[in-house]
Parts: sequence; structure tokens; C-alpha cells
Amino acid sequence: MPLLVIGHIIGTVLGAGAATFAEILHMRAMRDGVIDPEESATLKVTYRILRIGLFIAIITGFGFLLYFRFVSGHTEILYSEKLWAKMTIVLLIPLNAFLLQMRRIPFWLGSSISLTAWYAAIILGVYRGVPLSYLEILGIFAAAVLVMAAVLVLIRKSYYKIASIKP
Amino acid sequence: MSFGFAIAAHVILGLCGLASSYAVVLNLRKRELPRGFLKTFSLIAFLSYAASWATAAYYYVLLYGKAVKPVILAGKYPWAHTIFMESKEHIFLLIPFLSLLTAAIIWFLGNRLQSDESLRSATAALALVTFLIGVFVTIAGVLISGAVR
Repeated sequence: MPLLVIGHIIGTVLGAGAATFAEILHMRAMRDGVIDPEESATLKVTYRILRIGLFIAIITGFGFLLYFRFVSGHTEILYSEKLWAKMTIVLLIPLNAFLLQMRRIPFWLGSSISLTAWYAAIILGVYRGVPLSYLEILGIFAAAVLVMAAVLVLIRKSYYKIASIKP
Repeated sequence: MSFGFAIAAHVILGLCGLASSYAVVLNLRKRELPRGFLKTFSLIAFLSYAASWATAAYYYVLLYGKAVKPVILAGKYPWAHTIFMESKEHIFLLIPFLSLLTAAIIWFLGNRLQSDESLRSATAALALVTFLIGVFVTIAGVLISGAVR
């Protein structure tokens, strides 16, 4: 069990950290409107770390489910609304990445979904006694995505303004 | 082989297959196809699904029907078996064959994939369908496990 917890935390930290840095590096790369080869290579490494983090987090997450089913016998946790909300949000991460790659979703929305999903997964993992239903959690998540999108637009605008002033 | 080990292997191998199918879908959308990567991961996907199938069969044939199914049917969530296990055990059969077909296209028609856009799209769609069926099967597995009380 401690190994599973450590693995799950490492996966989540890698994923959330890489998602955050992907956003920062993309913002920095786009300040001149073009992503040059060096910036593209850095972004690729960041996305690779994000995928590795996602894979570790999912594998260890299923490790917990196996633990509840075969070791502790607490199978009722597998029907917890919080768990299903968390699984839905985590499933959104690869789905969103696929839609972004296919250019079927605007970048502002895709990047805010990715960041919000990672931080939502952390919050749901830490905040054990969430007194909310599945739909309430997903409703709050949807609102948080819009707030995140607005915040990212504001940060981008102010960052590009500062970057354009610099000599 | 213990049943706990068999089901743990089934889950982990299934997730490896899912991750590999996903990697194949994303990489088939790249302008320059990474052929070595596609060959490796399409093969890993097929082998993982096949091994996941074998370990699940061991658990299903020797334990599930005798000891697990009756508990689910007598419990609060009998639909976990009547709907989800009944669907899963049939729909799952498609996955190894779809992943084998994807791997065969990548291995034997790999030269055409770069230039033939329709073949590439069809192969990506095949890998995507495999991935989506895999996601459904995974979700069904969690529902079935949770109903054992």
C-alpha cells in the first residue's frame, strides 16, 4: 500500500507539474507568435513527462482498486461518487489531448481543461470527505474550467504585453 | 497462479494495451510517421491484450462463475453481472483481433501509411475504436468488482 501511495503521488506530481510547465513554456514560446525548433523540442519533452505521469497515476490508481477488491475488501469504495468523478476527470485528460492533437477543440479550452483536470485530480485525491455528488463535482469542474480559461487569457495578455515592452 | 495475481495481471496488462493503443492513435496523426515507434507499440498493444485475455480467462473459468457471480447476483447490484459482465465478456473478444489487425497493417503496409492518407485515417480509426472499447471494458470491470459484497 505505501508503494502504491508513493507511486500515485509521483505520477500525479509529474503530470500536474508537466501540465503546468507545458502551459508556461507554450506561453513563452508563443510570445513572438512562432514556436521555433528548440522550443518545440522542450515542449515535446514536457508532454512526454506528462504522459508518463498520467500512465503511472492510472496504473497505481487501478492498483488501489485491486487493493480494495482483493486485500482490504472495501469494495463499496468502488461505487463512491467521488471515485467515479475522479475517474471521469482523469479520463478527460487523454481525451482532451487527443482532441487537441486533432485540432477539434480550441487551444484555450483544451489547455484549461488539461490544467484544471490535473489539479482537480489532486484535490479529489487529497480531500477525502468531499460531501458532493458525482454531478455536483462535475458541475464545479466545468465551472472551474471556465474560470481557468479566463485566468489563462488574462495571464497571456499581461505576459505578452510585458514581453513586447522588453528590448 | 493465485486468482489475485491473475486479476492484477489482467488489469495491468489491459491498461498497458490501452496506453499502447492510445500512443498508436496519437502517433498515426503525426506528419512524419515514427514507424519504429508505431511497430513497437502496436505489437505491445496486441500482446498486452492477448495476455490480459488469457489471465482473465483463468480467473473467469476457475473462480468467477462459481464464487463471484452468485455473490453479485444475490447482492444489491445484480445488473453489474447481467448487463456489464455479459456485455464485457462478448465485446472484449473484439479487442485482441482489432489490435492484431492494426499491428498487421503497421507491420506489413507500413510503407504505404505515410503516403496513403485514407489508409492512415482508417488505421487510426481502428486503433481508436480498440481504445474506446478498452475504456468501456475497463469501466465495466470496476463496476463488476465493486458489486462483489
